[in-house]
Amino acid sequence: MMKKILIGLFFLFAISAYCQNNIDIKLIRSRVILKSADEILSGNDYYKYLPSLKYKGVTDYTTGSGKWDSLARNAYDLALNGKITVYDPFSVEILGSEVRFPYAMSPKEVYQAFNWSDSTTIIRPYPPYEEVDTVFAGFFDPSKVVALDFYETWTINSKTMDIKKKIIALCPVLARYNYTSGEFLGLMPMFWIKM
Amino acid sequence: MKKLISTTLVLFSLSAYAQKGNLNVDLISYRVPIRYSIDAEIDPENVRSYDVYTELFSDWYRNKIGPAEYNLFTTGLYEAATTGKITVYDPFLTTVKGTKVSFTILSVDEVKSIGTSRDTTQISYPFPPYDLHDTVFVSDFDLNSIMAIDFLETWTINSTSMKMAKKIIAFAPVMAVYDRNTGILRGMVPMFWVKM
Repeated sequence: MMKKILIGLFFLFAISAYCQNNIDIKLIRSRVILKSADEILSGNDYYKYLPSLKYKGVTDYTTGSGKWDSLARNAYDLALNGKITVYDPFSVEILGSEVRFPYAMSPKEVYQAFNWSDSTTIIRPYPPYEEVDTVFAGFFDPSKVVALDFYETWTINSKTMDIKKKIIALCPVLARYNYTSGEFLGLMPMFWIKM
Repeated sequence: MKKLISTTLVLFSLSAYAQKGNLNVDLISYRVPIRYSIDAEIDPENVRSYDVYTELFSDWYRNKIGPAEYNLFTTGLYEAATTGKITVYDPFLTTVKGTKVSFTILSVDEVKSIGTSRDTTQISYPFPPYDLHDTVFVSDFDLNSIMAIDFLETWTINSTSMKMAKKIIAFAPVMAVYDRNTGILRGMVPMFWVKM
């Protein structure tokens, strides 16, 4: 009995000593920009956002933009077909070092968030210049997914400086543009996918 | 013979599964800021003043490493690198061939010289006979200048569940470099690579 208690205590001490060697980053959010500024911006946008380009995120040695597009298309299709559960990015709650995703998006909400239509009345350019109802529609474009956001925990061994990352959730980030002027409006998170 | 064939078949099917089910990113590098302020110009308490920054990279300033963990990490890393407890590699002599990365070792003295400077100049005394005398300006490395971490990683993404795993190949602390006379930020420089 005594022997078992001693062995148990030894293990507890060993685990405690191991944990003391680690630096735990319990929650860190990072953004990896997948595409170059040239692909995201143009014209005046480029000039306007130029100061931020020094923070450009990624050098990808093996993956062309096409691969990222197929990844984005895949994530969107899975969410749209209800094969994965995705969470609303605007209702994320952070309590201390815990992140919560309280609102799961339905496939219908996923569709409505990234596809739109707008009806207006335009006049024909020839007599009798009658008014006709016209519908403008926009659909999800995977090439506009330009970044990935991550919530992660990091464990750093303070002796060897080994870093282990555990992904809590990832979120594709969409570049939004004004559909008439083409002006870059900003980056919008699509939905969180929990790991 | 039968065993060999069945093993080969299993290997082929595993390989086909991996190709079909996973999206592999064999080598990717990116930078993660770890301080609230990654630019001396930005007031971390008033990020709204830096419109461009917040608009294009909104939320980047949030959820960074806390001050206690930051101090533990930077102190531990710098001490380990400058005492030779870990081997570190030159960030400017890294070569990438395909998806293979080759590193060149940095000596302890070279690591110690990162971020430090000795500059000798002549200044005159402010009183007669105003002689010139040699003066050495010494600047030591400031741990608080570590602003970000560069990562070299491989990613595996399961295309049916979107589950993703990252494997770190190496990381490099990135320090901010300021103009010694004006104090203006000149840029970010990786210090050294630490292989996993």
